Amino acid sequence: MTVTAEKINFNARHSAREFETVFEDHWSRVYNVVFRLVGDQDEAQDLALETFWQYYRKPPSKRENLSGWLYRVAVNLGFNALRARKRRSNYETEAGSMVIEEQKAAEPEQEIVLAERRKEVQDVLGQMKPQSAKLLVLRYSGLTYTELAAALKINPASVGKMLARAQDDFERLFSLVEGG
Amino acid sequence: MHLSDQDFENYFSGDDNDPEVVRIANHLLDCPECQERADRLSPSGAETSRQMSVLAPGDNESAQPVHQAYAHFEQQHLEKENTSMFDKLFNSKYRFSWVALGVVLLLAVGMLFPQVRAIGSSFLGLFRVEQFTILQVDPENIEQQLGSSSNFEYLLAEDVQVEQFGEMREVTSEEEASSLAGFEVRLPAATAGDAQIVVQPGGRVSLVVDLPKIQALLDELGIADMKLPAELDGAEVSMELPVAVAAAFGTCEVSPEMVREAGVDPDGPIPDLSKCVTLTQFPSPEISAPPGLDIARIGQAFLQVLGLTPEEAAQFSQSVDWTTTLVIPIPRYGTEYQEVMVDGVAGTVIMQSERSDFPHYLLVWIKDGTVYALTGPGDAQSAVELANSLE
Repeated sequence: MTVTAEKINFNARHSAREFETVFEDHWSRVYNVVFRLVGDQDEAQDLALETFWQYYRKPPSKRENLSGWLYRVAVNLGFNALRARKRRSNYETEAGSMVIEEQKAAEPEQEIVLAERRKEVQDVLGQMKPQSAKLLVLRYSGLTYTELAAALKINPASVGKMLARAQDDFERLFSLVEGG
Repeated sequence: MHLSDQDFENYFSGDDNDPEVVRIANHLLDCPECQERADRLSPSGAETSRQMSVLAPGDNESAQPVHQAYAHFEQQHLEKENTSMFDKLFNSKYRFSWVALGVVLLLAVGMLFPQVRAIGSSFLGLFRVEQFTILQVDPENIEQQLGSSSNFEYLLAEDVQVEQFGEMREVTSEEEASSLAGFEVRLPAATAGDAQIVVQPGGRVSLVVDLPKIQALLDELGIADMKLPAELDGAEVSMELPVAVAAAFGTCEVSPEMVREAGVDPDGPIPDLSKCVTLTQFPSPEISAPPGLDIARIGQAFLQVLGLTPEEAAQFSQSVDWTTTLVIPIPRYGTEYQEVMVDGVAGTVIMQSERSDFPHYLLVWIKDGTVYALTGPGDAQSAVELANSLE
């Protein structure tokens, strides 16, 4: 008998239809959150699916805010992927970037510019305090202050000020990147 | 009433404990418009917003449609997981054989062969089933005959068409199941714990008869003396599979490997069904066939495929009303059956008599045009008691 305990728990508390409804309601927004952090469709889709898989295997207790839980998992997965990519990028830079340059040459100029701008922004996010970076990503993914508070487990009354501080941090780091 | 510029200035420059700042913070929580203004009015807000906007997915980068994403999810995760017997039992892959009592029978009895199941799916449920009759067969002979028959495999692969009308739905109550299925669903009162209930969509199995091909199959099987009527050639025979409702109680767990092995290898592992009860119910399936077809003659051929001699097949065929009777083949060895009174009508309980440390039953009966199949641990008496508690 090899059925996982998590699955049995899920089946005990949720029906398949409930799960499907959660999936339908949140799929697009969860994808948008992780896409902002990884900037790649396939990777964003995998991470979004992984978010729902974690929900399927071990759903939050009913007392916990469902969407807050989903976006917390999604932004954590995305942020981890961003940082992992940063580490890979450092390694590749050390190893030589000839292959990457060849790939860029095949893309239209507009896409190259957009990709470079995204990379700059993502690099800045990767340098920020994780909580601040996640706050910005979730806010610019369309979450309200109440949803942000639930997702990041912060005091709802402090969201506005924390966002303002995160914006200041972002700007300061971004100007450093742009300044070279 | 939205926040003023002065409010925002007070908010960003004030102390968190200042009552005025608390008031503004509380207002912000309930005012999406003010939240957007706050994003722009904070010292770095506008520029951060501009930079962050490049991260949004473009038109050709947006999330794939949710139904496609969900299909990917199922493919990536759910289908690879070991699943409960309940999940597996009603998976669409097993749907049609299951409706024809195939998988239920296989898992409960655990000794029938795929070939028998395939025949059962396409032939056994003839016309509107009103009763069952049991036929003990020797599975080894069938496997030997059909397993080596290329014509048989070709017939099933090329000529039998299977359609499914919709997707499986899991429901949370028998009322919801009844509403979805279109008939009154009954559940036993005597089962402990909540049922997992699944409504399976209807479907259709059809076959355009290629008489030379079927005759070649009969010849290959050594049934050369059986000549099928010429009017059968080109006729379409189809079976409408009704919506079915299945419920599982208790612990119904089994790995996919065990499901695959059930009924294939008589010496293979048997699923642990010691705490699993399943009840399947559906309106009697109906078949449409060309008028004037000699069903008894075809039934006789079918019986010979199952291993009966021409004389035995003729004798048995004459005793069966093929238009109303579902013939359930069970292995001659390792199973036993008995007629019982259940739910106010006559039913048949099939017991697995060997190969198991615990007794297990399959009880089938038909009442008011609905077919019921109950499987579970225990003896015939416990099966009947449980069936009699249906409400």
